[in-house]
Amino acid sequence: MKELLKLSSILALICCGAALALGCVYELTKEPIARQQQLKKQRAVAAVFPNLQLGSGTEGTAVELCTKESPACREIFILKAENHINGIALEAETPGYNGPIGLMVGMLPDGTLSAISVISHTETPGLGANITLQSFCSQFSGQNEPKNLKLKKNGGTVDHVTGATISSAAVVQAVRDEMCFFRANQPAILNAQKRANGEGQ
Amino acid sequence: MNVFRELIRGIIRENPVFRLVLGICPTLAVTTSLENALGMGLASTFVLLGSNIAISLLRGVIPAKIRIPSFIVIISTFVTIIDLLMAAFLPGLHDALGIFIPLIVVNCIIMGRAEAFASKAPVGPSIIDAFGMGIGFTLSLALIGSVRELLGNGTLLGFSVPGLDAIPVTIMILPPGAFLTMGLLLGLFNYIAQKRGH
Amino acid sequence: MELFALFFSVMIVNNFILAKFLGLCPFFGVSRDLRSAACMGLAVTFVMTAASAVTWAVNDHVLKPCGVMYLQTMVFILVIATLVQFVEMVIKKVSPVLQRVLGIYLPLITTNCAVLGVCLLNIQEEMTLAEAVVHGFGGGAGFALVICMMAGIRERLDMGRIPVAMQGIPISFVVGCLMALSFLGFQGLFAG
Repeated sequence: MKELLKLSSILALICCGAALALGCVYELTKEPIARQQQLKKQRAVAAVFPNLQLGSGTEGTAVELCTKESPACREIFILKAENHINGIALEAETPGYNGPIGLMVGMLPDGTLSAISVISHTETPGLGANITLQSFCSQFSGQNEPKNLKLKKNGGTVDHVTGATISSAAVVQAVRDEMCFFRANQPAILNAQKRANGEGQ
Repeated sequence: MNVFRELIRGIIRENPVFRLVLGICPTLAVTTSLENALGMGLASTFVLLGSNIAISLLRGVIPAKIRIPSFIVIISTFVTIIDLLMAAFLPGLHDALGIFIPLIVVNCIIMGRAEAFASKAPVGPSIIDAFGMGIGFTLSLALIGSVRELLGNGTLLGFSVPGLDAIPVTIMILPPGAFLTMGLLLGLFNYIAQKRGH
Repeated sequence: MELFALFFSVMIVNNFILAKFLGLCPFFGVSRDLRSAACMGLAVTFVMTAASAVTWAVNDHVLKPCGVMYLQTMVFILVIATLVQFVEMVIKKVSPVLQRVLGIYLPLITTNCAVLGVCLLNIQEEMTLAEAVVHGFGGGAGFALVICMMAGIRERLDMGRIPVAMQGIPISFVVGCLMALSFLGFQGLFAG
Protein backbone atom coordinates (compact mmCIF):
# COMPACT_ATOMS: atom_id res chain seq x y z
CA MET A 1 0.00 0.00 0.00
CA LYS A 2 2.75 2.37 1.01
CA GLU A 3 4.69 1.53 -2.12
CA LEU A 4 1.64 2.12 -4.29
CA LEU A 5 1.20 5.53 -2.71
CA LYS A 6 4.85 6.39 -3.25
CA LEU A 7 4.79 5.29 -6.89
CA SER A 8 1.57 7.15 -7.67
CA SER A 9 2.73 10.35 -6.01
CA ILE A 10 6.03 10.39 -7.91
CA LEU A 11 4.20 9.78 -11.19
CA ALA A 12 1.65 12.44 -10.29
CA LEU A 13 4.46 14.91 -9.54
CA ILE A 14 6.10 14.25 -12.89
CA CYS A 15 2.76 14.70 -14.65
CA CYS A 16 2.16 17.98 -12.82
CA GLY A 17 5.58 19.25 -13.80
CA ALA A 18 4.92 18.29 -17.41
CA ALA A 19 1.48 19.89 -17.43
CA LEU A 20 2.93 23.08 -15.93
CA ALA A 21 5.65 23.28 -18.57
CA LEU A 22 3.18 22.63 -21.37
CA GLY A 23 0.69 25.15 -20.03
CA CYS A 24 3.36 27.85 -20.06
CA VAL A 25 4.54 27.05 -23.58
CA TYR A 26 0.93 26.95 -24.76
CA GLU A 27 0.20 30.41 -23.35
CA LEU A 28 3.35 31.76 -24.95
CA THR A 29 2.56 30.35 -28.39
CA LYS A 30 -1.22 30.82 -28.43
CA GLU A 31 -1.11 34.24 -30.06
CA PRO A 32 1.56 33.55 -32.67
CA ILE A 33 -0.34 30.42 -33.72
CA ALA A 34 -3.61 32.33 -34.09
CA ARG A 35 -1.79 34.99 -36.07
CA GLN A 36 -0.32 32.37 -38.40
CA GLN A 37 -3.81 30.97 -39.08
CA GLN A 38 -5.05 34.44 -39.95
CA LEU A 39 -2.07 35.16 -42.17
CA LYS A 40 -2.69 31.90 -44.01
CA LYS A 41 -6.28 32.89 -44.80
CA GLN A 42 -5.23 36.39 -45.81
CA ARG A 43 -2.54 35.07 -48.12
CA ALA A 44 -5.03 32.70 -49.71
CA VAL A 45 -7.43 35.60 -50.32
CA ALA A 46 -4.68 37.86 -51.68
CA ALA A 47 -3.65 35.10 -54.09
CA VAL A 48 -6.95 35.33 -55.95
CA PHE A 49 -6.82 39.09 -56.37
CA PRO A 50 -3.42 39.64 -57.99
CA ASN A 51 -4.37 43.13 -59.14
CA LEU A 52 -5.42 44.41 -55.74
CA GLN A 53 -2.87 45.32 -53.09
CA LEU A 54 -4.13 44.27 -49.69
CA GLY A 55 -3.20 46.66 -46.93
CA SER A 56 -2.70 49.85 -48.90
CA GLY A 57 -6.25 51.10 -48.50
CA THR A 58 -7.86 47.79 -49.42
CA GLU A 59 -8.91 45.60 -46.54
CA GLY A 60 -10.40 42.16 -46.45
CA THR A 61 -12.96 41.14 -43.89
CA ALA A 62 -14.50 37.76 -43.18
CA VAL A 63 -18.26 37.94 -43.16
CA GLU A 64 -20.84 35.31 -42.36
CA LEU A 65 -23.37 34.76 -45.09
CA CYS A 66 -26.61 32.87 -44.56
CA THR A 67 -28.63 31.71 -47.55
CA LYS A 68 -31.28 29.16 -48.42
CA GLU A 69 -28.63 26.79 -49.75
CA SER A 70 -27.06 24.04 -47.71
CA PRO A 71 -25.02 24.50 -45.60
CA ALA A 72 -27.06 27.50 -44.58
CA CYS A 73 -24.26 29.71 -43.34
CA ARG A 74 -20.73 30.02 -44.65
CA GLU A 75 -17.83 32.41 -44.33
CA ILE A 76 -16.94 34.65 -47.27
CA PHE A 77 -14.23 37.27 -47.58
CA ILE A 78 -15.06 40.74 -48.83
CA LEU A 79 -12.39 43.11 -50.04
CA LYS A 80 -13.24 46.75 -49.95
CA ALA A 81 -11.49 50.06 -50.27
CA GLU A 82 -13.22 53.25 -49.11
CA ASN A 83 -16.61 51.49 -48.74
CA HIS A 84 -16.42 50.28 -52.31
CA ILE A 85 -16.46 46.51 -52.73
CA ASN A 86 -13.55 45.40 -54.89
CA GLY A 87 -13.87 41.65 -54.67
CA ILE A 88 -15.37 38.65 -52.93
CA ALA A 89 -13.44 35.49 -52.14
CA LEU A 90 -15.20 32.17 -51.64
CA GLU A 91 -13.63 29.06 -50.21
CA ALA A 92 -14.64 25.73 -51.72
CA GLU A 93 -13.83 22.11 -51.12
CA THR A 94 -14.44 19.34 -53.62
CA PRO A 95 -13.54 15.64 -53.81
CA GLY A 96 -10.59 15.16 -56.15
CA TYR A 97 -8.91 12.03 -57.46
CA ASN A 98 -7.06 11.10 -54.29
CA GLY A 99 -8.79 13.18 -51.65
CA PRO A 100 -10.44 16.56 -51.13
CA ILE A 101 -9.16 19.63 -53.00
CA GLY A 102 -9.41 23.01 -51.25
CA LEU A 103 -9.89 26.06 -53.48
CA MET A 104 -10.15 29.80 -53.11
CA VAL A 105 -12.26 31.46 -55.80
CA GLY A 106 -12.05 35.20 -56.30
CA MET A 107 -15.02 37.00 -57.82
CA LEU A 108 -15.30 40.60 -58.94
CA PRO A 109 -18.53 42.38 -57.88
CA ASP A 110 -19.98 42.07 -61.40
CA GLY A 111 -19.78 38.27 -61.39
CA THR A 112 -16.55 37.87 -63.37
CA LEU A 113 -13.89 35.52 -62.06
CA SER A 114 -10.82 37.30 -60.80
CA ALA A 115 -8.62 34.25 -60.26
CA ILE A 116 -8.54 30.91 -58.48
CA SER A 117 -5.97 29.33 -56.23
CA VAL A 118 -5.61 25.76 -55.00
CA ILE A 119 -5.12 25.86 -51.22
CA SER A 120 -4.82 22.17 -50.39
CA HIS A 121 -4.85 18.84 -52.15
CA THR A 122 -3.53 15.29 -51.96
CA GLU A 123 -3.25 14.61 -55.68
CA THR A 124 -0.39 12.68 -57.26
CA PRO A 125 2.78 14.73 -57.66
CA GLY A 126 3.61 15.29 -61.32
CA LEU A 127 0.06 14.54 -62.44
CA GLY A 128 -2.95 15.77 -60.47
CA ALA A 129 -0.73 18.04 -58.38
CA ASN A 130 -0.16 20.18 -61.47
CA ILE A 131 -3.56 21.77 -60.95
CA THR A 132 -1.68 24.24 -58.75
CA LEU A 133 0.38 25.48 -61.68
CA GLN A 134 -0.34 28.88 -63.21
CA SER A 135 -0.67 27.28 -66.64
CA PHE A 136 -3.89 25.64 -65.44
CA CYS A 137 -5.23 28.22 -62.96
CA SER A 138 -4.76 31.23 -65.24
CA GLN A 139 -7.43 29.83 -67.57
CA PHE A 140 -10.07 30.84 -65.06
CA SER A 141 -9.20 34.53 -64.80
CA GLY A 142 -11.65 36.77 -66.54
CA GLN A 143 -14.26 34.07 -67.19
CA ASN A 144 -17.83 35.24 -66.81
CA GLU A 145 -19.88 32.62 -68.57
CA PRO A 146 -20.69 29.58 -66.43
CA LYS A 147 -21.38 27.47 -69.50
CA ASN A 148 -17.80 27.97 -70.66
CA LEU A 149 -16.55 26.59 -67.37
CA LYS A 150 -16.17 23.01 -68.54
CA LEU A 151 -13.28 20.98 -69.86
CA LYS A 152 -12.66 21.36 -73.57
CA LYS A 153 -13.65 17.76 -74.15
CA ASN A 154 -17.01 18.48 -72.53
CA GLY A 155 -17.75 21.53 -74.64
CA GLY A 156 -16.16 24.24 -72.55
CA THR A 157 -12.99 26.28 -72.86
CA VAL A 158 -10.75 24.90 -70.12
CA ASP A 159 -7.73 22.73 -71.00
CA HIS A 160 -7.19 19.91 -68.55
CA VAL A 161 -3.87 19.08 -66.91
CA THR A 162 -2.03 16.41 -68.88
CA GLY A 163 -2.82 12.99 -67.48
CA ALA A 164 -5.18 14.33 -64.80
CA THR A 165 -8.67 14.76 -66.22
CA ILE A 166 -10.41 13.80 -62.98
CA SER A 167 -8.51 16.37 -60.87
CA SER A 168 -9.04 19.04 -63.54
CA ALA A 169 -12.74 18.25 -63.88
CA ALA A 170 -13.18 18.42 -60.10
CA VAL A 171 -11.62 21.90 -59.98
CA VAL A 172 -13.65 23.14 -62.95
CA GLN A 173 -16.89 21.85 -61.45
CA ALA A 174 -16.15 23.45 -58.08
CA VAL A 175 -15.34 26.84 -59.65
CA ARG A 176 -18.48 26.65 -61.74
CA ASP A 177 -20.57 25.88 -58.64
CA GLU A 178 -19.09 28.87 -56.82
CA MET A 179 -19.79 31.14 -59.76
CA CYS A 180 -23.42 29.99 -59.87
CA PHE A 181 -23.70 30.38 -56.09
CA PHE A 182 -22.38 33.91 -56.39
CA ARG A 183 -24.82 34.86 -59.11
CA ALA A 184 -27.77 33.28 -57.30
CA ASN A 185 -26.99 35.15 -54.10
CA GLN A 186 -25.43 38.35 -55.40
CA PRO A 187 -27.72 40.78 -53.58
CA ALA A 188 -27.39 38.88 -50.30
CA ILE A 189 -23.60 38.90 -50.59
CA LEU A 190 -23.38 42.61 -51.26
CA ASN A 191 -25.80 43.21 -48.38
CA ALA A 192 -23.81 41.06 -46.00
CA GLN A 193 -21.02 43.59 -46.24
CA LYS A 194 -23.37 46.41 -45.24
CA ARG A 195 -24.70 44.36 -42.35
CA ALA A 196 -21.17 43.69 -41.15
CA ASN A 197 -20.42 47.39 -41.06
CA GLY A 198 -23.68 48.27 -39.34
CA GLU A 199 -26.61 49.39 -41.53
CA GLY A 200 -26.31 52.32 -43.83
CA GLN A 201 -22.69 53.39 -43.87
CA MET B 1 38.87 13.06 -27.35
CA ASN B 2 36.35 10.75 -25.73
CA VAL B 3 33.58 13.22 -26.52
CA PHE B 4 34.46 13.13 -30.19
CA ARG B 5 34.45 9.33 -30.29
CA GLU B 6 31.06 9.18 -28.60
CA LEU B 7 29.63 11.63 -31.11
CA ILE B 8 30.99 9.70 -34.05
CA ARG B 9 29.56 6.50 -32.62
CA GLY B 10 26.06 7.88 -32.97
CA ILE B 11 26.77 9.00 -36.51
CA ILE B 12 28.54 6.02 -37.98
CA ARG B 13 28.93 2.82 -36.02
CA GLU B 14 25.54 2.95 -34.32
CA ASN B 15 23.71 5.09 -36.83
CA PRO B 16 20.08 4.82 -35.72
CA VAL B 17 18.64 4.59 -39.22
CA PHE B 18 21.11 2.56 -41.21
CA ARG B 19 22.69 0.34 -38.56
CA LEU B 20 20.12 0.01 -35.79
CA VAL B 21 17.16 0.35 -38.22
CA LEU B 22 15.13 2.40 -35.73
CA GLY B 23 12.76 5.27 -36.36
CA ILE B 24 11.87 4.18 -39.87
CA CYS B 25 8.37 5.64 -40.05
CA PRO B 26 9.38 9.32 -40.06
CA THR B 27 12.46 8.45 -42.12
CA LEU B 28 10.43 7.29 -45.08
CA ALA B 29 7.50 9.64 -44.68
CA VAL B 30 9.10 13.06 -44.45
CA THR B 31 12.11 12.65 -46.74
CA THR B 32 10.28 13.86 -49.84
CA SER B 33 12.54 16.88 -49.77
CA LEU B 34 15.79 17.84 -48.10
CA GLU B 35 14.15 20.71 -46.23
CA ASN B 36 11.53 18.48 -44.62
CA ALA B 37 14.16 15.89 -43.79
CA LEU B 38 16.35 18.44 -42.02
CA GLY B 39 13.35 19.88 -40.19
CA MET B 40 12.32 16.49 -38.85
CA GLY B 41 15.89 15.59 -37.94
CA LEU B 42 16.41 18.77 -35.96
CA ALA B 43 13.01 18.51 -34.24
CA SER B 44 13.79 14.94 -33.19
CA THR B 45 17.25 16.00 -31.98
CA PHE B 46 15.63 18.67 -29.82
CA VAL B 47 13.28 16.13 -28.26
CA LEU B 48 16.10 13.61 -27.80
CA LEU B 49 18.26 16.22 -26.12
CA GLY B 50 15.50 17.46 -23.83
CA SER B 51 14.34 14.02 -22.79
CA ASN B 52 17.86 12.66 -22.29
CA ILE B 53 18.73 15.59 -20.03
CA ALA B 54 15.48 15.43 -18.06
CA ILE B 55 15.59 11.66 -17.60
CA SER B 56 19.25 11.72 -16.66
CA LEU B 57 18.58 14.44 -14.07
CA LEU B 58 15.68 12.47 -12.62
CA ARG B 59 17.29 9.05 -12.82
CA GLY B 60 17.78 8.84 -9.10
CA VAL B 61 14.20 9.80 -8.39
CA ILE B 62 12.20 7.64 -10.79
CA PRO B 63 11.58 4.14 -9.38
CA ALA B 64 12.17 1.31 -11.84
CA LYS B 65 8.56 0.15 -11.72
CA ILE B 66 7.12 3.33 -13.19
CA ARG B 67 9.97 4.24 -15.47
CA ILE B 68 8.14 3.59 -18.74
CA PRO B 69 5.12 5.81 -17.97
CA SER B 70 7.48 8.49 -16.63
CA PHE B 71 9.61 8.37 -19.77
CA ILE B 72 6.47 8.61 -21.88
CA VAL B 73 5.28 11.70 -20.00
CA ILE B 74 8.67 13.41 -20.22
CA ILE B 75 9.20 12.61 -23.92
CA SER B 76 5.69 13.67 -24.91
CA THR B 77 6.19 16.97 -23.02
CA PHE B 78 9.14 17.84 -25.21
CA VAL B 79 7.32 16.66 -28.34
CA THR B 80 4.36 18.91 -27.57
CA ILE B 81 6.71 21.83 -26.88
CA ILE B 82 8.43 21.51 -30.26
CA ASP B 83 5.02 21.00 -31.91
CA LEU B 84 3.67 24.26 -30.46
CA LEU B 85 6.88 26.16 -31.22
CA MET B 86 6.87 25.00 -34.84
CA ALA B 87 3.19 25.82 -35.29
CA ALA B 88 3.87 29.33 -34.01
CA PHE B 89 7.15 30.14 -35.75
CA LEU B 90 7.67 27.69 -38.60
CA PRO B 91 4.15 27.12 -40.00
CA GLY B 92 5.30 25.95 -43.44
CA LEU B 93 7.49 23.21 -42.01
CA HIS B 94 4.83 22.36 -39.41
CA ASP B 95 2.24 21.74 -42.14
CA ALA B 96 4.69 19.78 -44.27
CA LEU B 97 5.62 17.41 -41.43
CA GLY B 98 2.00 17.03 -40.33
CA ILE B 99 1.20 14.25 -37.89
CA PHE B 100 4.79 13.05 -37.87
CA ILE B 101 5.66 15.76 -35.34
CA PRO B 102 3.48 14.28 -32.60
CA LEU B 103 4.60 10.84 -33.78
CA ILE B 104 8.13 11.69 -32.64
CA VAL B 105 6.91 10.49 -29.25
CA VAL B 106 6.80 6.88 -30.49
CA ASN B 107 10.10 7.15 -32.31
CA CYS B 108 11.94 4.09 -31.03
CA ILE B 109 15.24 5.98 -31.00
CA ILE B 110 14.17 8.34 -28.25
CA MET B 111 12.57 5.75 -26.00
CA GLY B 112 15.45 3.41 -26.71
CA ARG B 113 18.14 5.89 -25.69
CA ALA B 114 16.16 6.87 -22.60
CA GLU B 115 15.93 3.26 -21.48
CA ALA B 116 19.39 2.13 -22.49
CA PHE B 117 21.47 5.17 -21.71
CA ALA B 118 20.01 8.28 -20.11
CA SER B 119 18.40 6.45 -17.19
CA LYS B 120 21.77 5.05 -16.19
CA ALA B 121 24.27 7.77 -17.05
CA PRO B 122 25.01 11.25 -15.74
CA VAL B 123 23.91 14.36 -17.60
CA GLY B 124 27.14 15.06 -19.49
CA PRO B 125 27.40 11.74 -21.35
CA SER B 126 23.62 11.79 -21.92
CA ILE B 127 23.91 15.12 -23.70
CA ILE B 128 26.70 13.83 -25.90
CA ASP B 129 24.79 10.64 -26.66
CA ALA B 130 21.72 12.69 -27.60
CA PHE B 131 23.77 14.89 -29.90
CA GLY B 132 25.46 11.91 -31.51
CA MET B 133 22.25 10.01 -32.17
CA GLY B 134 20.41 13.15 -33.15
CA ILE B 135 23.04 14.27 -35.63
CA GLY B 136 23.30 10.72 -36.99
CA PHE B 137 19.53 10.64 -37.45
CA THR B 138 19.49 14.08 -39.10
CA LEU B 139 22.32 13.22 -41.47
CA SER B 140 20.65 9.95 -42.47
CA LEU B 141 17.38 11.72 -43.13
CA ALA B 142 19.23 14.39 -45.08
CA LEU B 143 20.92 11.75 -47.24
CA ILE B 144 17.66 10.01 -48.11
CA GLY B 145 15.89 13.34 -48.56
CA SER B 146 18.55 14.61 -50.96
CA VAL B 147 18.46 11.46 -53.08
CA ARG B 148 14.68 11.48 -53.29
CA GLU B 149 14.39 15.18 -53.99
CA LEU B 150 17.19 15.24 -56.58
CA LEU B 151 15.92 12.24 -58.51
CA GLY B 152 12.21 12.72 -57.92
CA ASN B 153 11.89 16.46 -58.37
CA GLY B 154 15.08 17.63 -59.95
CA THR B 155 15.57 20.17 -57.17
CA LEU B 156 17.57 20.45 -53.97
CA LEU B 157 16.26 22.63 -51.13
CA GLY B 158 13.88 24.01 -53.71
CA PHE B 159 16.55 25.09 -56.14
CA SER B 160 16.39 23.52 -59.59
CA VAL B 161 19.35 21.40 -60.54
CA PRO B 162 20.11 21.80 -64.24
CA GLY B 163 19.88 18.54 -66.10
CA LEU B 164 18.05 16.63 -63.40
CA ASP B 165 14.88 18.69 -63.48
CA ALA B 166 14.30 17.87 -67.12
CA ILE B 167 13.25 14.27 -66.46
CA PRO B 168 12.15 13.92 -62.84
CA VAL B 169 11.54 10.36 -61.69
CA THR B 170 8.32 11.16 -59.82
CA ILE B 171 8.09 7.70 -58.30
CA MET B 172 10.98 8.64 -56.04
CA ILE B 173 8.90 11.07 -54.03
CA LEU B 174 6.08 8.56 -53.77
CA PRO B 175 6.06 5.66 -51.27
CA PRO B 176 7.72 3.06 -53.56
CA GLY B 177 10.66 5.38 -54.06
CA ALA B 178 11.07 5.73 -50.32
CA PHE B 179 11.25 1.96 -49.79
CA LEU B 180 13.64 1.53 -52.69
CA THR B 181 16.03 4.28 -51.62
CA MET B 182 16.10 2.95 -48.07
CA GLY B 183 16.67 -0.63 -49.19
CA LEU B 184 19.51 0.20 -51.53
CA LEU B 185 21.23 2.55 -49.08
CA LEU B 186 20.93 -0.07 -46.31
CA GLY B 187 22.51 -2.61 -48.62
CA LEU B 188 25.29 -0.17 -49.45
CA PHE B 189 26.10 0.55 -45.82
CA ASN B 190 25.94 -3.16 -44.99
CA TYR B 191 28.47 -3.79 -47.74
CA ILE B 192 30.79 -1.05 -46.45
CA ALA B 193 30.53 -2.40 -42.90
CA GLN B 194 31.33 -5.90 -44.08
CA LYS B 195 34.38 -4.70 -46.01
CA ARG B 196 35.65 -3.00 -42.87
CA GLY B 197 35.18 -6.24 -40.96
CA HIS B 198 32.50 -5.14 -38.48
CA MET C 1 -22.46 2.54 -47.26
CA GLU C 2 -20.10 5.40 -46.61
CA LEU C 3 -18.57 3.51 -43.70
CA PHE C 4 -18.07 0.55 -46.01
CA ALA C 5 -16.25 2.75 -48.52
CA LEU C 6 -14.16 4.23 -45.68
CA PHE C 7 -13.19 0.74 -44.52
CA PHE C 8 -12.00 -0.37 -47.95
CA SER C 9 -10.32 2.91 -48.73
CA VAL C 10 -8.29 2.77 -45.51
CA MET C 11 -7.50 -0.91 -45.85
CA ILE C 12 -6.36 -0.88 -49.47
CA VAL C 13 -6.13 2.52 -51.13
CA ASN C 14 -4.54 4.48 -48.29
CA ASN C 15 -2.91 1.48 -46.70
CA PHE C 16 -1.27 2.42 -43.43
CA ILE C 17 2.04 0.74 -44.20
CA LEU C 18 2.44 1.16 -47.93
CA ALA C 19 0.92 4.59 -48.39
CA LYS C 20 1.03 6.32 -45.03
CA PHE C 21 4.29 4.90 -43.64
CA LEU C 22 2.76 4.06 -40.28
CA GLY C 23 3.63 0.80 -38.54
CA LEU C 24 6.90 0.12 -40.33
CA CYS C 25 8.99 -1.15 -37.39
CA PRO C 26 6.92 -4.30 -36.79
CA PHE C 27 6.41 -4.59 -40.54
CA PHE C 28 10.09 -5.42 -40.94
CA GLY C 29 10.65 -6.86 -37.52
CA VAL C 30 7.85 -9.38 -37.21
CA SER C 31 7.35 -10.51 -40.77
CA ARG C 32 9.80 -13.38 -40.72
CA ASP C 33 7.16 -16.09 -40.78
CA LEU C 34 3.49 -16.13 -41.59
CA ARG C 35 2.28 -17.29 -38.19
CA SER C 36 3.83 -14.51 -36.13
CA ALA C 37 2.85 -11.98 -38.79
CA ALA C 38 -0.78 -13.07 -38.58
CA CYS C 39 -0.74 -12.89 -34.78
CA MET C 40 0.82 -9.42 -34.84
CA GLY C 41 -1.74 -8.30 -37.42
CA LEU C 42 -4.58 -9.54 -35.25
CA ALA C 43 -3.21 -7.86 -32.14
CA VAL C 44 -2.64 -4.55 -33.94
CA THR C 45 -6.13 -4.55 -35.45
CA PHE C 46 -7.65 -5.12 -32.05
CA VAL C 47 -5.61 -2.39 -30.36
CA MET C 48 -6.17 0.11 -33.17
CA THR C 49 -9.94 -0.36 -33.07
CA ALA C 50 -10.15 -0.14 -29.29
CA ALA C 51 -7.73 2.79 -29.08
CA SER C 52 -9.63 4.72 -31.77
CA ALA C 53 -12.83 4.42 -29.76
CA VAL C 54 -11.31 5.24 -26.38
CA THR C 55 -9.15 8.18 -27.51
CA TRP C 56 -12.07 9.63 -29.46
CA ALA C 57 -14.20 9.49 -26.34
CA VAL C 58 -11.46 11.01 -24.18
CA ASN C 59 -10.94 13.79 -26.71
CA ASP C 60 -14.63 14.55 -26.93
CA HIS C 61 -15.49 14.42 -23.25
CA VAL C 62 -12.30 15.53 -21.53
CA LEU C 63 -9.91 17.41 -23.79
CA LYS C 64 -12.38 19.50 -25.74
CA PRO C 65 -14.53 20.70 -22.82
CA CYS C 66 -11.42 21.67 -20.87
CA GLY C 67 -9.88 23.39 -23.87
CA VAL C 68 -6.59 21.55 -23.51
CA MET C 69 -6.22 20.21 -27.02
CA TYR C 70 -2.46 20.71 -26.83
CA LEU C 71 -2.31 17.83 -24.35
CA GLN C 72 -3.59 15.48 -27.05
CA THR C 73 -0.27 13.79 -27.82
CA MET C 74 0.54 13.09 -24.18
CA VAL C 75 -2.95 11.96 -23.18
CA PHE C 76 -3.38 9.74 -26.24
CA ILE C 77 -0.10 7.89 -25.82
CA LEU C 78 -0.78 7.37 -22.11
CA VAL C 79 -4.29 6.11 -22.88
CA ILE C 80 -2.88 3.71 -25.46
CA ALA C 81 -0.20 2.42 -23.08
CA THR C 82 -2.79 1.94 -20.35
CA LEU C 83 -5.23 0.25 -22.73
CA VAL C 84 -2.59 -2.21 -23.90
CA GLN C 85 -1.59 -2.99 -20.32
CA PHE C 86 -5.23 -3.51 -19.40
CA VAL C 87 -5.90 -5.74 -22.39
CA GLU C 88 -2.84 -7.81 -21.49
CA MET C 89 -4.13 -8.36 -17.96
CA VAL C 90 -7.61 -9.27 -19.16
CA ILE C 91 -6.33 -11.74 -21.74
CA LYS C 92 -4.08 -13.40 -19.17
CA LYS C 93 -7.06 -14.01 -16.89
CA VAL C 94 -9.67 -14.85 -19.48
CA SER C 95 -8.10 -16.83 -22.30
CA PRO C 96 -4.77 -18.67 -22.16
CA VAL C 97 -5.19 -19.49 -25.85
CA LEU C 98 -5.26 -15.82 -26.80
CA GLN C 99 -2.46 -15.20 -24.34
CA ARG C 100 -0.24 -17.67 -26.16
CA VAL C 101 -1.12 -16.18 -29.54
CA LEU C 102 -0.99 -12.45 -28.78
CA GLY C 103 0.99 -12.32 -25.57
CA ILE C 104 4.43 -11.19 -26.66
CA TYR C 105 3.21 -8.76 -29.29
CA LEU C 106 0.96 -6.60 -27.15
CA PRO C 107 3.68 -4.63 -25.33
CA LEU C 108 5.35 -3.88 -28.68
CA ILE C 109 2.21 -2.28 -29.99
CA THR C 110 2.38 0.69 -27.62
CA THR C 111 5.20 2.22 -29.65
CA ASN C 112 3.66 1.32 -32.98
CA CYS C 113 3.20 4.58 -34.92
CA ALA C 114 0.09 3.16 -36.57
CA VAL C 115 -1.87 3.14 -33.32
CA LEU C 116 -1.08 6.68 -32.21
CA GLY C 117 -1.23 7.75 -35.85
CA VAL C 118 -4.76 6.54 -36.43
CA CYS C 119 -5.97 8.14 -33.19
CA LEU C 120 -4.50 11.50 -34.19
CA LEU C 121 -5.85 11.21 -37.74
CA ASN C 122 -9.37 10.51 -36.43
CA ILE C 123 -9.31 13.86 -34.64
CA GLN C 124 -7.56 15.71 -37.43
CA GLU C 125 -10.13 14.63 -39.99
CA GLU C 126 -12.98 15.43 -37.60
CA MET C 127 -14.53 12.00 -37.70
CA THR C 128 -17.56 10.81 -35.79
CA LEU C 129 -17.21 7.94 -33.34
CA ALA C 130 -18.49 5.41 -35.86
CA GLU C 131 -16.10 6.67 -38.55
CA ALA C 132 -13.20 6.63 -36.09
CA VAL C 133 -13.84 3.01 -35.12
CA VAL C 134 -14.16 1.93 -38.76
CA HIS C 135 -11.00 3.88 -39.56
CA GLY C 136 -9.12 2.08 -36.80
CA PHE C 137 -10.46 -1.31 -37.80
CA GLY C 138 -9.75 -0.75 -41.49
CA GLY C 139 -6.27 0.52 -40.76
CA GLY C 140 -5.52 -2.53 -38.64
CA ALA C 141 -6.96 -4.84 -41.28
CA GLY C 142 -4.80 -3.22 -43.93
CA PHE C 143 -1.77 -3.58 -41.67
CA ALA C 144 -2.55 -7.26 -41.10
CA LEU C 145 -3.07 -7.87 -44.80
CA VAL C 146 0.23 -6.34 -45.83
CA ILE C 147 2.30 -7.85 -43.04
CA CYS C 148 1.02 -11.32 -43.94
CA MET C 149 1.81 -10.70 -47.59
CA MET C 150 5.32 -9.63 -46.64
CA ALA C 151 5.78 -12.70 -44.43
CA GLY C 152 4.67 -14.96 -47.23
CA ILE C 153 7.20 -13.38 -49.57
CA ARG C 154 10.05 -13.39 -47.07
CA GLU C 155 9.58 -17.07 -46.36
CA ARG C 156 10.36 -17.71 -50.01
CA LEU C 157 13.08 -15.09 -50.30
CA ASP C 158 15.48 -17.23 -48.32
CA MET C 159 15.57 -19.66 -51.22
CA GLY C 160 16.72 -16.98 -53.63
CA ARG C 161 20.31 -15.96 -54.34
CA ILE C 162 20.63 -12.59 -52.69
CA PRO C 163 23.91 -10.68 -52.32
CA VAL C 164 25.15 -10.86 -48.73
CA ALA C 165 24.89 -7.09 -48.22
CA MET C 166 21.23 -7.11 -49.22
CA GLN C 167 20.14 -10.12 -47.17
CA GLY C 168 17.59 -9.62 -44.45
CA ILE C 169 16.28 -6.09 -44.05
CA PRO C 170 17.55 -4.37 -47.24
CA ILE C 171 15.91 -6.83 -49.62
CA SER C 172 12.70 -6.59 -47.56
CA PHE C 173 12.68 -2.87 -48.27
CA VAL C 174 12.96 -3.54 -51.98
CA VAL C 175 10.07 -6.00 -51.68
CA GLY C 176 8.17 -3.27 -49.84
CA CYS C 177 8.89 -0.96 -52.78
CA LEU C 178 7.34 -3.39 -55.21
CA MET C 179 4.33 -3.92 -52.96
CA ALA C 180 3.83 -0.16 -52.60
CA LEU C 181 4.10 0.17 -56.36
CA SER C 182 1.37 -2.37 -56.92
CA PHE C 183 -0.87 -0.77 -54.29
CA LEU C 184 -0.43 2.59 -56.05
CA GLY C 185 -2.67 1.13 -58.71
CA PHE C 186 -5.58 1.29 -56.27
CA GLN C 187 -5.43 5.08 -56.17
CA GLY C 188 -8.61 6.70 -57.33
CA LEU C 189 -10.66 3.60 -56.49
CA PHE C 190 -13.01 5.55 -54.27
CA ALA C 191 -12.79 8.89 -56.04
CA GLY C 192 -15.68 11.22 -55.50
